Amino acid sequence: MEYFLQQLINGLTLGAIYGLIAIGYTMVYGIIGMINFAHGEIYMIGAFISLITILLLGQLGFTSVALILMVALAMAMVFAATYGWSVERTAYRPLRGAPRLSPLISAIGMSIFLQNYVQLLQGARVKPLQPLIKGGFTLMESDGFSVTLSYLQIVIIVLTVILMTVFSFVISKTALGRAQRACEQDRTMAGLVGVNVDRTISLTFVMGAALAAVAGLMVTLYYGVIDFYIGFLAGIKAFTAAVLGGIGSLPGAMLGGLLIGLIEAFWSAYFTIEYKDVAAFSILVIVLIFRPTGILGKPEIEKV
Amino acid sequence: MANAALLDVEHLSMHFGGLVAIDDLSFVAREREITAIIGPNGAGKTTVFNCLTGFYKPTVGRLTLHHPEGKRYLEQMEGFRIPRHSGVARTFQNIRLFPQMTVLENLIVAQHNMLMKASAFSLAGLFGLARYRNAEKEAVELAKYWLDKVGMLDKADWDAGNLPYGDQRRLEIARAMCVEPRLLCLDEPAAGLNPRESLELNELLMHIRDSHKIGLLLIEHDMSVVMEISDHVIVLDYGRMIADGTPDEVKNDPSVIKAYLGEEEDEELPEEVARDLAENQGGPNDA
Amino acid sequence: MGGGREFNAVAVIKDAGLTAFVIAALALPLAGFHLADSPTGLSVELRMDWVGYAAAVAFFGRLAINILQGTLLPRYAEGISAGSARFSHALQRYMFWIGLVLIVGAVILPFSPIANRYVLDLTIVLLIYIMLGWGLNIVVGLAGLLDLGYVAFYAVGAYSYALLATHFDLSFWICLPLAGIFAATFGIILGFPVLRLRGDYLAIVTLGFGEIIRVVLLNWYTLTNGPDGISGIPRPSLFGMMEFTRRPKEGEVAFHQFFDIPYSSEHRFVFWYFLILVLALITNFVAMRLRRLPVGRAWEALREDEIACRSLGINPTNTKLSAFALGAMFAGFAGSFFATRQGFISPESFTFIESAIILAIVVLGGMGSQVGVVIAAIILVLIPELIRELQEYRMLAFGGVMVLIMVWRPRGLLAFREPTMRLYHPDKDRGEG
Repeated sequence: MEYFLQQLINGLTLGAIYGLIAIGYTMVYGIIGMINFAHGEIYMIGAFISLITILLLGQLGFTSVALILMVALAMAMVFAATYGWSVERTAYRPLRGAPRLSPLISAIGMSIFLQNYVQLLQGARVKPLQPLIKGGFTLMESDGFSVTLSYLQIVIIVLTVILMTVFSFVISKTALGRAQRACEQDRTMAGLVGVNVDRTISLTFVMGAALAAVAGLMVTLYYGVIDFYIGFLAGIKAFTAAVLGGIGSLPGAMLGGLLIGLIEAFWSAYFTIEYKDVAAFSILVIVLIFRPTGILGKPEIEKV
Repeated sequence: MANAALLDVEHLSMHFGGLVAIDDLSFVAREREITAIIGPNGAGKTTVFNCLTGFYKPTVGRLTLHHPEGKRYLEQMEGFRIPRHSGVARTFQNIRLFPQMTVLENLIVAQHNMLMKASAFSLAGLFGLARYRNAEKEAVELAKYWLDKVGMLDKADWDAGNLPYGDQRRLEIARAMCVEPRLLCLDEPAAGLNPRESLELNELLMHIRDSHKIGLLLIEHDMSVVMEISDHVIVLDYGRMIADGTPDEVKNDPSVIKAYLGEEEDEELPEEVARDLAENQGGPNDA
Repeated sequence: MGGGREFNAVAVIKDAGLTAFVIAALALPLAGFHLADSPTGLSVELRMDWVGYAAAVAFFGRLAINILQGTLLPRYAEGISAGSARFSHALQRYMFWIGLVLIVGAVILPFSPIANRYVLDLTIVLLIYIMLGWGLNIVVGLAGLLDLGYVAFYAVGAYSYALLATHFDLSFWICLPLAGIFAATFGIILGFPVLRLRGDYLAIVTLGFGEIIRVVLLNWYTLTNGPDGISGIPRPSLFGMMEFTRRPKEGEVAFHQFFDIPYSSEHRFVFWYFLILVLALITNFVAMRLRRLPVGRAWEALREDEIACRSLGINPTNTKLSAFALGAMFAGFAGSFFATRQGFISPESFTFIESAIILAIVVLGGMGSQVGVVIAAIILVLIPELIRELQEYRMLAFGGVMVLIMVWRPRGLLAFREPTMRLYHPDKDRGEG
């Protein structure tokens, strides 16, 4: 029972991280109908920038953990957003009217480019970080196994909830959110009624990138080690999460993320750890066979 | 003697969640007749087609197609099996050609099932056996026949996407005929056509009815087409049938007029509007 | 557009400045700082000169592009576009001959003076990718199915071949077809549940399958030897009769003995070269032939409009399955060749990046275009191999080139479709008004 609870906590934390990345995928897919393959790399870049900021501030003598984390968060979000914006401008915007596969190939190329870019600049070795936030609550104990909820896990989950609330608010109540939803439904018409389509799309990418950067910071703190390759695997899983939850749906992305996180945690705990990466995919295939548009996705009625 | 019944629609209803798109519709479409389905926008006409051609599964109802080899119940058949086994072909409201393939290729694709059988699932084709080569020749001949009928024989090698609008509509009809159907369903074939093209369309459809002895089912808004060529008109409004008869009967049916034009206004016009109208009526036409 | 616009120097400089600023911002966190190993863990070092260089390159590069676009290009714009239109038309008309020349060139290559072991080896690798590209072309180019996991079938082919050859001691000529059948069966099993999914969902699911295969191969130690791979895969002989070794096995005749020529290790390479060339050409010919048959036309029609296909009585699931299975089969053949040539296979050769490269070859070449696949393979595979000294930058350049070509030519390099059937002579008007 205790073991189960611990896996539940771990799974939810991991799921929150995946969910934040998944939101970026789902927003971009919703608005321009393409899979942003390079999104995982934005997450990785966010992780690297967080790491560099944290180490730099430590080197400069700052000791307040709260201050360091807030500055790292800000830096990661700002710079990752810049990367997200630039990627959209160079690799996707020129291909907006092109056949479906072209932006996909461009995205894959961009993903490869960014991976190797970071690898060349920072080296291929893994980068470790000493834990910054230590300790936590012990929820219960029995037979020498204690269920712990670490402070870091609380920070991650609380931060995710805050961000989710903010984003849901933005989507449903602000002009930007309305513009986004308009572009999702009919881009041409939205342009005709005065929505600045280019700017709306750019902002979507920027927002998704910022969230991915937060996830990058979280993963740096949580796992304590990053490398240039983490974007690929997390990216696929996060996209799987977005599809699982119903592509185009923000709550779906977070739900999918949580599910994937839980699946991974429970699979590696109760079955085998080698196949944990594959568990998520297998679940996705099974879900898609029975619900082709994902869990919270709107079933598409063919317009003939 | 009346023509034989070709399509029997019995108590067709289509619900989308709480929305009732079609409500207990029954009618008969006959061979060698053009049956038109008309009605204001949103009356459910295309929904009927989609039920007939397997794109929607009817909530309730029986759709019987009388095929020489036996009755076919369309509501039970999977989409692509309907053209294959029941001989029901259709065109679409928003033209659905294969734009990057040529005009000729579009018509050859329509004969896919015949050609697949002849090629023994491509094996006969791979080895260039005569059986396939002859079938392909026949297919080209049929394509040429219909291209000629729609007046596009010289554009056979054009990419379908490069055709002008009127030609695209006619190509879609030619393609549907290459399926060698028993029932041809046309969804707004006259949409966007100018008067001359509409006349040509009328001739084409009447020729199909008379020379090929099939039944046609037509959704149309263009009354010059409907009244000219239909043998039988069905009027839908809000998913329900409100009239069923010959064009003349339907034209004068008060409930049809009401559905299209609305009731007469009994209320008085507001003062200012009445005054304006009176002033303007005396205006520009005075000598 | 003639020279109507004035050349606004201030605007151009501002634009270049903006570009430089963005590049500097991008470079700042990752290039300006460097994570270095130090005795106490990682430390951050400054490297701001790199940021300066990046900004400078961005500024002058953008300036140069703007100047070119503003001054030279408009003057020659019409000439350039007319010239390139004429070039495309000529290319289209003589495509058949171009293909023929390439094939003839490929056949005589081993006998030409430039052929040595290195060159042959390189072209063998190129031909494997071309064969995979032609195979994937059936799935993606003709049928329009988004397959991001093609490497899975390549792997199944390679491993089935390896296992059959090492455990059952069957000859290459038996194992090859068997491996292809395995791969095709695999394609059907995989395809059946997922092919009715919408395009992008199919992409992520096929991507997932590719990864699943790789992880399974890596971890199912008893079957596949895991990361150690399978070694000792026997080399093929010429129709089971002659070997290519210096000292043949008991009772068998060696190739050089049979033809009474001195032994050279090159013989084996030439044999492999022709073997892959023949396999690739078979892939090409079968695909081209099927394209003219109803099944191939159904693939292309399905790609254009699935709903219209259904309305014509075409079974979309079966049609997609046939494309998928056929593509898988050819990947299986390619995998067999790969296994026998290397003599050793491991899961490392079957990563997602391979699927990405093959897909890039198909899309960059121009979907459906056979010659396009060859050209794209040369660009994406051959050229990086040739500039091996810059090995570190190879993948970086690879990604960059992918983006650049897509942005420059979104439909691929050779993106025109040759109709499968004509009523009239090709020179007649195709209505491209």
